[in-house]
Amino acid sequence: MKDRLLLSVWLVAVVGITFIHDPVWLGGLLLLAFALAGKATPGLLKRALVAIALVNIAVSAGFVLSASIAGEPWGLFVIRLNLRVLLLTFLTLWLARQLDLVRAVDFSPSLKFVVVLTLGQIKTFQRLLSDYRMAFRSRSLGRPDLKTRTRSAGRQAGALLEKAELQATEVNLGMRSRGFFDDRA
Amino acid sequence: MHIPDGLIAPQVYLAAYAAAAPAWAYAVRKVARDFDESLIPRLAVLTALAFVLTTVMIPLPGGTSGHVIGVGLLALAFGIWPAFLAYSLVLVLQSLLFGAGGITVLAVNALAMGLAAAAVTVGVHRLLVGWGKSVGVLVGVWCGVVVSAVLVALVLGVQPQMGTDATGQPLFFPFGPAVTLPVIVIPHLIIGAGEALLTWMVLSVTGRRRVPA
Amino acid sequence: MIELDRVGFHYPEGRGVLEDVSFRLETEERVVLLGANGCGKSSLLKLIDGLLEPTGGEVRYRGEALTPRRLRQREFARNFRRDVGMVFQSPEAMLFNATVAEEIAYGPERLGTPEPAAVARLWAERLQLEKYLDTPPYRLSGGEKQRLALACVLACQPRVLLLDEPTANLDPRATGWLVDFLLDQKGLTTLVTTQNLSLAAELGQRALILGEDGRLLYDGPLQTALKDTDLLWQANLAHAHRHRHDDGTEHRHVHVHGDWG
Repeated sequence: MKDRLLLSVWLVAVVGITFIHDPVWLGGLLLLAFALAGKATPGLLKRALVAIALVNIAVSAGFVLSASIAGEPWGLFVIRLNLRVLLLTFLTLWLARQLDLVRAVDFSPSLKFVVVLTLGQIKTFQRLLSDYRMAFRSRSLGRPDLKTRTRSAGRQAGALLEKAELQATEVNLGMRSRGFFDDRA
Repeated sequence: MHIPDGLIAPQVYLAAYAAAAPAWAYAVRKVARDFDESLIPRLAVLTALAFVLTTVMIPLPGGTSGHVIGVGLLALAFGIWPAFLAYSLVLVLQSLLFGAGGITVLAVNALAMGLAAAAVTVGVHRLLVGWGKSVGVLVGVWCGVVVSAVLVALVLGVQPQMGTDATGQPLFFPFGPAVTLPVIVIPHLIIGAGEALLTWMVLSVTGRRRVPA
Repeated sequence: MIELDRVGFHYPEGRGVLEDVSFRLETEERVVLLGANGCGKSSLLKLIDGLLEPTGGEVRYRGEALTPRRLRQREFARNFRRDVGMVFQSPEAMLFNATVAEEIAYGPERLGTPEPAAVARLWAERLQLEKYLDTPPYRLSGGEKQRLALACVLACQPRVLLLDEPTANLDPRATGWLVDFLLDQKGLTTLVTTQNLSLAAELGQRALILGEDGRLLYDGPLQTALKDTDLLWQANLAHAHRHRHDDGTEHRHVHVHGDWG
């Protein structure tokens, strides 16, 4: 229940924020978000800044340049854009920390099972992929050339694809063996 | 390449949600029918695969690398609608688990990079497969990547039309299509080639397409 | 209880796995299914569990053929799934709930067992998983997942237990527990696959040996099979290696694993 509420509040907040254009309001809300996150603020803020740096710096710098050449004002836009993007990203990262996704979607059993299985499968694939990478590194002498790296990336993705096909079948049998499909229409 | 939150006006992303909703509904129905009881495990595995595929790097000349999007591969291996659905779920997971990407722009990203890329890839592949399997895969995936880059550039490019404040400064993303098209599309001509090559290699390793598109 | 009548199975690609396999499992029998890698042991268990459909012959449960049609009938499917439990070789295929507690409670809940949460706790304790009750199953290690899959199946109190390489990921203590547990159960029919011959002797009296061509090579007392080096060699369950003696001579021996003499 708590997680579903959290998810809903966050959704409303995020959509609402895109309707706000006054930097004073955006700044105020950002401070409010910092207060809400409490001790987690510095860590979250750092991650948010890293996440948005590339796009925001490029867009801001580009706009300042083009507006200056045209002799138009730019200050308000730069503050507004950066505050809004930072606020949204900060809120999302904060949510990601708080939210138990599985609990948030348990209003729909099918969705819940999809999420649980997906998280598990991501783990399996990641382990496989990291094994592949480590094996590749352990078998390479020095830095492999472009052709070798391309071939290895192709093999990795191919192995994942094959594994996915097998996993899907195996999980399906595993669920059937436990009677999962007998209770459903 | 996907668009983060805060750059797109509500008019645009809400419209995208309105367009994406029937597409998602259709995709769920179609996938449920084709996969019947294996829907849940299959969708989960596909989503996990798509999620992990986006972490495989395409090596680019000069020691750098770019991310695989993987939609073309999923679309060719499993069909347009499963690829679209799996990719949409990936966007949700990336946003809710890691705060990457955004939820307001979810529909925009899902339509441009999921549905459009998948449909273009499969469509072009069908047209060209008569010329040879490799041609179909390579050109199909490349077209899918480029078309989705064009769509993303256009969505960003219309943002200056979405309003300005009293001083005439834009409320959202500030550049028109004359800027976004070259800046976004040109790099994707190369990224698309890398992705196409990788997809072609993967499909030739695994041999054959498993589920009819 | 379970009967296989000239069962054959091959995958759609045409790769043959099982040919003409026939045997019966009687109530409360303890049977060990031996065979080398890739000879079709897992497929055979899945056929018995009604998960795969034989491409030839029939699998019967209590005299009734397990056809897809029969398994689509709810009442039959429910009873069959309650009676027959299987633990997969890769246990994560069977785990799809949010926490360990929910995972174990899933079966009892479906069957309408009173207090499924208490049942789940009990089985978690028996398999030393009690500290993970609130953990998502995918975060567990391989051995823990194996124990969890076992707990899930055992919590439903099945009459037939199909275990596919159950000790592959288990440490010696958990292996010992499992062997004791299986020996203590009354009224349980078990079919366990393994390549581990020293363990086989503890898990059953009767052996089925599958050859590499997917045919049944042997069906009889386990102890007799374990002494038949030719048979084990033929099933690729024995290995040969060179011995070098002090006087410099060499010769080859056929060996089987295990310390049963």
